[in-house]
Amino acid sequence: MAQTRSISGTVTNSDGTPLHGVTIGVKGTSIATSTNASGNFTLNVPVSSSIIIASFVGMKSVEVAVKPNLVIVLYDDATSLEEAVVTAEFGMKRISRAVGSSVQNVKGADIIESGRDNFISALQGRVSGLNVISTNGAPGASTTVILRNVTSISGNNQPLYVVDGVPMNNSTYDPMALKRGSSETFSVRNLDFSSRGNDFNPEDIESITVLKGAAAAALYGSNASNGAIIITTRKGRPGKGRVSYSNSFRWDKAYGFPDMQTKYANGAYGTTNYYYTNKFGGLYPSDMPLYDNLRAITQTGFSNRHNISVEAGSDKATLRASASLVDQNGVIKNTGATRINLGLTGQAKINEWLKFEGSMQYVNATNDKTTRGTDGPLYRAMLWPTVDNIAKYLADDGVHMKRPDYYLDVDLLNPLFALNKNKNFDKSNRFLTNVATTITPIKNTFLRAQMGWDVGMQTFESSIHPYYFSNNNGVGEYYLTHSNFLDKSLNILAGYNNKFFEDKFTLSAQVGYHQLENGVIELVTSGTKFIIPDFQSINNSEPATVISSQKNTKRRIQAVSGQFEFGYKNLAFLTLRGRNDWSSTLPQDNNSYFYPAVEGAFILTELKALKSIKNLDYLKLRGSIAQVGKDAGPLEIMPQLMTTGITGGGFKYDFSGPNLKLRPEMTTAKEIGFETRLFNSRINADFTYFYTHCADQIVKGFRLSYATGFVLNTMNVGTFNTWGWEGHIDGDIIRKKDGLMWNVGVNISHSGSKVVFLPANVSEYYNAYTWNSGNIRNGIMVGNPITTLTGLAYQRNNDGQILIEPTTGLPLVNSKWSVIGDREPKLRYGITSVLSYKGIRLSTMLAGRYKATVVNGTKRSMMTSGNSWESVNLRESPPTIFDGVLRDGNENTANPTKNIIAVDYSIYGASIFGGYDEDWLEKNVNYLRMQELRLSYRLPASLIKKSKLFSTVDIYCVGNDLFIWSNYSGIDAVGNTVSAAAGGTGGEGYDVWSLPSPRGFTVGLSITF
Amino acid sequence: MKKLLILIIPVLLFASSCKKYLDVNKNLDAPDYVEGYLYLSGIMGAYFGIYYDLRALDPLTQMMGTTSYTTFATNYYSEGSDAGGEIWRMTYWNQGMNLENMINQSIKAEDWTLAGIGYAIKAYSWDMMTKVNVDLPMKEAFVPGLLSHNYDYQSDIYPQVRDWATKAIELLQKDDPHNYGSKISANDYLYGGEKVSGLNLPILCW
Repeated sequence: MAQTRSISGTVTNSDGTPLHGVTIGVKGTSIATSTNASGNFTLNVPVSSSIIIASFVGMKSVEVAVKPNLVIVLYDDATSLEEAVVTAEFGMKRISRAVGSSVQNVKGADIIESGRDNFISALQGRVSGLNVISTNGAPGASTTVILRNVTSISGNNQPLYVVDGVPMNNSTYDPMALKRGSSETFSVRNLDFSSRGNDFNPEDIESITVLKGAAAAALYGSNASNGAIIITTRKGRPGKGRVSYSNSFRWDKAYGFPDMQTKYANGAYGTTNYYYTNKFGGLYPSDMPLYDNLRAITQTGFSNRHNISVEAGSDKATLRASASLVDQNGVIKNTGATRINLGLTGQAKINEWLKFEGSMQYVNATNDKTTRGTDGPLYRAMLWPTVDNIAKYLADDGVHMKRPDYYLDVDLLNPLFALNKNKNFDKSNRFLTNVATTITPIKNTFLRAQMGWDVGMQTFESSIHPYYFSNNNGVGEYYLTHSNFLDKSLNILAGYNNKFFEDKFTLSAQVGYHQLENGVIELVTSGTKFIIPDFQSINNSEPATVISSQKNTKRRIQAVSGQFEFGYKNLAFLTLRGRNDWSSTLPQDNNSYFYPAVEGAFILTELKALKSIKNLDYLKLRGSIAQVGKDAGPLEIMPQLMTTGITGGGFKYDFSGPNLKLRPEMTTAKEIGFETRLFNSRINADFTYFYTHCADQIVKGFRLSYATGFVLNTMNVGTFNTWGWEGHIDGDIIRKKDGLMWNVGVNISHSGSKVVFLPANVSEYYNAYTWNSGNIRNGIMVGNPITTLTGLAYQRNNDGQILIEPTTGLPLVNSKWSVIGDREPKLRYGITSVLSYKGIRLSTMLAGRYKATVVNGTKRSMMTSGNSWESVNLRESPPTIFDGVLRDGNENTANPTKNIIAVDYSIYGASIFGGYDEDWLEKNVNYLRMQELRLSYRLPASLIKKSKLFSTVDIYCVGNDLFIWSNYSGIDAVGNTVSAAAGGTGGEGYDVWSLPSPRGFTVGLSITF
Repeated sequence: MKKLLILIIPVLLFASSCKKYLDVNKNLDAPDYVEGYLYLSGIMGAYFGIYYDLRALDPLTQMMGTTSYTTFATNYYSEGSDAGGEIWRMTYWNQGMNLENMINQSIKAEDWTLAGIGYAIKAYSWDMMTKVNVDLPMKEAFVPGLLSHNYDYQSDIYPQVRDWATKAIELLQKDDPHNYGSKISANDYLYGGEKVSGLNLPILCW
């Protein structure tokens, strides 16, 4: 018997955190043990052996000489990422090497440290090909996420959000039901609602995996045709129990407002007349006090965030409970949002063949908001006479809306009165629950059953005060909406994996059965004629005016899916996937659709020839082809009749007609790309090129001839293609052994598109709610990209010169709409930089666009109302001669008549200042925004150990949206003129008084006990 | 064996009838099918908007309009405007499929009076429409699934209008034992369900 001695020690990682489960072995023998939850181990080492090896997955193995009371520190092994896994559909893990489509991971820590309140905004700039469009900078604004490019002309283009394998509801309410009779008070262009994805607590996120494109999310089905964003929640760690507390305090200031002119007063033709709203009058008297009314509606926003979580567990089970509070005041007065999250997650290994995981989240969110666009406070503050102080919004009686001083008309509405007296209040209670069990009865097989419920109850109050009306003469309008959703899902998967032929071939097979339900119950009640003006309640409106309506929709999908992954020598992988859906929203005789996907991955560095190349650690070629089918929305094949609303009652068809022959849409996506790691994993890069063909689009509300019997039709029309590329490269520019590290990363993407087919007599398809400035709307036409803008363009001769009307000298415009610009920028990019040394970490994130086209509706309305300095310059300048040729019959000959007719603006009214549609497209807009600048400091372990209470203490400060470098002259080049609820190609890059993201400064503290 | 059962039983437990589970695309809030007479007042109410087409007719006639609309006898038509479009909108959409449903359902149920009223209205509206708009899509109107529609000449439309008017007269004069109660009289704002005076409408179209 060899003599042994007992050696004990502790293993920690570079932060000082004890590591559990590290394998401790004696070199040259098979003696081994592993560390316990506190990182301690005890080993009987033979006297003859002198080296101990500590090894752990994902970390560099360490060899140390035997001595008593060892302290071993393990560092992350960047090169061992070959065995990394990605979280694929339904919570299943796939070996990263085998995945043939583009997948990107984001660490939970990056999301938490971004300083954003919701994880969706935090993703912007971190993932190539992912574009986050925040509708505006107000608290609780909706967000639209587009991965690569859109796949639907009129429908939902957002990716599927999945929590622990179960889809999460990310709907945004569309206020089209908030109307009385045929006039619409609220719509997606003037009232925004939160996306329900904003509810999720970023502190509960362990990691996010972004599956770009249809191939990656093939098993999720039609809801994931735009890709999927998979969130894995934190479920606690085995080992010592931990309590963590973090907080942050944030101050926001709005910036980027245009300057209002202070030279000319209200009036027209140079004569001051305070009956006019437009400011084309005479000069202001030099001693007249003028007020900055745009600033008067803003304030310094303040928000605070508190988060506490408790984790505990052992090898067998872990548990995590968390609570979080976010309370935010916006930069516009009387706006704000709060959110309370409570979460409980855990996992347990019941016995060797049964595992259980569960997660429950409760979210309570409220949002005090205001209208936007040309119904919003910014626009109304601009219209307000500069000679009156808008901050005094109450008349002397303290009840009515004060009319502005000097102003003679009664039509102006004070936005501060609206902010204080109108109510737009949203409340939401939501439960997100999922449970899953995994059974491994026989070696190499598994059975996983998963159920999820996402239940939300939303209440929206939208109320207009009776005095918020011309001459205080309104009756008030009150809307109370209850919109509840219930999404249930069930997934059962069975799988088998094995290796054959001496581990040369691997097979991983999986089949599944899925059920999904989306149910919405909505009840809208409205009333007018408030009895007490200041009281906001349905009970306070005249009973005879109260109208109610309800809406119930349900959509159910049943599906079976299969996936077969073949691997050869860890070098080449081929994956076949397929899914067949049966949907309740399609006609019963044609409600089944099948769509397959093929993926291939080839790890070139496994080839002998390339293995020897120094510095090329990893090179993988991948490609995939996938199809995704999409069904219609509920009740689209047979829309319901509506009451006529006239004397005599009865029923009639609504605008949209039925279509009993509706077919599923089919999108085919192809992609090819590569991933590589170089120089000992100091440089990581990946690149993908994609091409997507979307055919047989189900377009809702499609305008065809009235001869169909309807104004709008839901039909399979429209085919378009999108293509583009996305690339990512990041490198450790400095990586020193003492811990100094500087990593810089860049994400770039580019996308193009083309509309291939629209029905013969449909020249244009557009969303009417984007028709917000002049005649510019987001129309699409055959042969043009899908992100175009249409408007009334200048008439031009064959050489492209503008035609001028010979009698007036003014340019001529077409009477039919045509494509005038494309909103898609040439490049979208993000730059990240992380510099860390010992406990200090400085990180920054910039996001930008290169050569975009933006509609400057803001400046246009300022020009027409005489509020911009450009309008002052225009009226003071000598008569303008428009550049063009006269339309006198010679325009297309060799000698067109050049225009020399001078147009004197001072003899024209205000509308001519508004110019023509083409004038207000700012082309080649470049935009770069410093999204985050974060400095954090972790107090050294030596300082904390003395207190015996804390484990780690981090102090940090973050600046969000600090600077924008742009050649755009309006307010917000990246805002959206419609809410995310509009769907389709949306209104990104169309600026009509969008509130941009304010500049924020946060300080915070994070403590682990 | 025990482990195999554990594998299979959960799958069987969750199996359910496909068709029944998916049959949820029904309108719970409003009907998508109603009896014929319920369309009637909406169809007749649609006639109210016709006077907007003064914008097309006035300039071409010597109609003595109001003091705010004095374009009579100036002999023009505003290009690019939707003047003359109200009758189009009314016949194809406001009445359109509502009228088709009322006629087809009434014939199927052998409600001859209601069907006769329907044909009378159809003849009158189409007659008015072709007088204002001349050539119209008629044969391809209301055909589901068409993405574009061919026009028919006015010379083909007038015979069809006369055909509908004839059918209306036949049906109104037919013996109809059906007891409508107040279904027609409460909804028919032109003639109150009175068959004899109701004949005036299709006769106008002849």
